[in-house]
Amino acid sequence: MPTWNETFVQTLVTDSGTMRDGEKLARSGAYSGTGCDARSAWGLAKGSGKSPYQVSIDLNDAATKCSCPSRKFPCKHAVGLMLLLARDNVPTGATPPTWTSTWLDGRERKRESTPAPTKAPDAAAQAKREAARLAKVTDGVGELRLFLEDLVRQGLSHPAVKSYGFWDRIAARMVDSQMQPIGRRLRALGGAPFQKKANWAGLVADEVGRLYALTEAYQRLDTLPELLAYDVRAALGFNLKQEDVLALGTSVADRWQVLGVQIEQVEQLQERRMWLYGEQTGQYALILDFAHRSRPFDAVYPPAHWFSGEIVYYPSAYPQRAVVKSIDSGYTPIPYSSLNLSGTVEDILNGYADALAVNPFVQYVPAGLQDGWVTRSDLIDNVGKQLPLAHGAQPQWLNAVMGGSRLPIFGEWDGSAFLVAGLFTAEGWLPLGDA
Amino acid sequence: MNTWAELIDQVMLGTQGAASPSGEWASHTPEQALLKQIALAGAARRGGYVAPAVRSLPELNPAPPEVLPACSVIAVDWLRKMERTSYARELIRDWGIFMIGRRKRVPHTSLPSVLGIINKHEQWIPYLLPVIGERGRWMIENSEGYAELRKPELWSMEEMPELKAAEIAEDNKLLIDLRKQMMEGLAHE
Repeated sequence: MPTWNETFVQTLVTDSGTMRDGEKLARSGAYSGTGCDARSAWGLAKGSGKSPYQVSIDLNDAATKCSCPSRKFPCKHAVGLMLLLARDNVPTGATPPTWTSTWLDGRERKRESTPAPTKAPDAAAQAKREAARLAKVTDGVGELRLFLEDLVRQGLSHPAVKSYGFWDRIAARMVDSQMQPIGRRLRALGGAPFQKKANWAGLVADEVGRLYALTEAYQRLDTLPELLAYDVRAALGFNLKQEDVLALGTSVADRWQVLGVQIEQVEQLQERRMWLYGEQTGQYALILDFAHRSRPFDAVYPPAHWFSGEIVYYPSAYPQRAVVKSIDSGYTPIPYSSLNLSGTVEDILNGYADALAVNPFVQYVPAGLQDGWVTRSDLIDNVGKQLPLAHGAQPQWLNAVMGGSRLPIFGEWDGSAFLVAGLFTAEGWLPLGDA
Repeated sequence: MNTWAELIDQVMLGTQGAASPSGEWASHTPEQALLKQIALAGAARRGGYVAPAVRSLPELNPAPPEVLPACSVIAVDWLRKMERTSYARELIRDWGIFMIGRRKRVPHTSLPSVLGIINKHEQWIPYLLPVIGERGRWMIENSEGYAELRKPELWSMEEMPELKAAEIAEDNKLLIDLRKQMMEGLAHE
C-alpha cells in the first residue's frame, strides 16, 4: 500500500490545475462524511450541484471514483480527499458507505474474474487486416524515403524546412500509414530550428539519418536477427499485444524502484514513460503507456517508491520496454539514503554505446547520476564530466531546487542531450517544472 | 567518409547538381549516399560521444538552510494571478506585506517565477525580496540572470506600510472583490 503523504499525492496528479483546485477544496472544508479503513477512503464533496459528490479512493492502488462529471482522473474532489488523507484529516475506523463498498467490490470482482471466453479470432479476417496494414506501412516507408531524399536534394537551408507545416504534412502522412511513432518524430523536428540551438542542422540531420536507416532496415526485415527485427517493427509502430509480450518476452522478478517519469502531450494523446530499476538484477525497464489527454493512465506507479513484482520485457535486441505482470507488494518509499544511481557520466555514455551496438535504433537510455550538478546548460558529475541538458531543461528551476548541492538526478540520454525525468531531494522526489 | 561537419555542410546545401558518388557509394544516388553516410556517422558520433570535462570542479557552495517555513503553492498562484492581471498588479504589494507579516517564504520550486516577477517589476521589490528566503538570496548572489537585484539599496528595508484595502477607490469594485478573494485564499497561510 502506498504511503499517503503530499509528495505521493503530487505524483498521482498530472496537471497542476487539478492539484491546486484539490488543495483549495481540502482547505475550504468542502468535505463531509469522510472516513477511511484499511482498504479505502471516502467522503462527500460539496460541488456546484444540488447533491454533494461521492468520492472514493482505493488505498491499494490509489484508484479513485467520483460522481462528478469531470473527465479528469483523479478529479479535483478526489485530489482534495487524498490531501486530507495525507494530512491525517480523515477519521479512521468507520464503515464505508454503500457507494464506496459497491465500487470496491466491483473492482475486486473485475480483478479476479477470468476473462469471458472470447470468440476465436477469425484467422482469415485477421490475416487480411495484417496484410492491409503491412501494405500501408510499406507504402509509408516508400513515401518517407522519397521525402528524405528530396529533403537532402534541396538542402536543409531551404526556407520551407524552417516551417512547422513542412514537417506536419509528412508527419500526417505517416500517421495515415499507421506509423504513428514516425509521425511524432517528424513533427518534433518542426521545432528544432526554433530552439535557438546553434547546432539545429546537426540535430535535424542526425534524426533524418536515423529515420533513413530505419527505412533501410525495414526493407531488409527478413534478413535481420529476430530480436532486432522486433525493434525495427516497434520503431515503425507495430505494437505487440500485451498477451503476446507475456508469451514471447523475458520475465524478471525483482524489487523495482520507480525512478523517473516523463509525460509528453502529443495533440490529444499523453505519452508516459515510467522508468523502473531492479535492485537485485540491476536492470532498467521502461513502462510506456498512452492515454487520451482527458483520461487517466490505467496504472499508477508513484515515483521514488519501490514495489516487488514481475515484469516482462518486450522482445528486443536491447530489452528496455516492459509490461508489469504482477505487483506482489504495496508501494514503499525509497529511502533517500538507499538510492544508488550511476556514478559518472562515463557510465551513462558507456551504457548508451552498449545499447547502440546491439540496437542501432534505440532512441534513449535511462541515465542517473547519484551526485548530479547543473549549470545553465550542462549536467556535471562528481569528476567534472559534462552532458548537455535537453531543450526545456529549466536550469533556473534546477538551480533553485538543488541550491548548490549535488543531488541524485535521473533522466534519459538520447546521444546528444540529457532530459531530466526526476530529482531526488531530501524532501522527496520532484518532477521537472516550476510550481 | 567525410567528417560530420562536412556532411552537415552538404546536407545544408543539398545534393542538387552534385557529382555522382564514386567508390563504395557508386551504386547509390547522391541523396541515398548522403543519407546513409549521415546515418552511419551520426550513430558513430552518438556512440562515441566524448563528454567534455570542466577545467576544475566547481567549489561546492550550498545555499544556507531556510529559517522561514514555505508558503503554499496556492499562495504563489495568487501572486502570479495578480502579476498577469494588469489592473490588479497593485495588489502585489498587499500580497507581499501579508506574507512578510505571516513570516513565510515562497517554496523553492516557485523561486524562478517569483524572481522573474521581481526582475520585471522594480516597484514591488521591497515587498517581494523579503519572501524569497535564503535560497532566493543565494540564487541572486550566484546567478548572473539576477545580477540587477544585487544592488544594496534594494535591500534596505523601510518600514512596511499597512495593507492598503482602504486605499482602493470605492468605485473600483472589481479590484475590491479580487482583493477580498485573495485575502480569503491567503487566510490559511
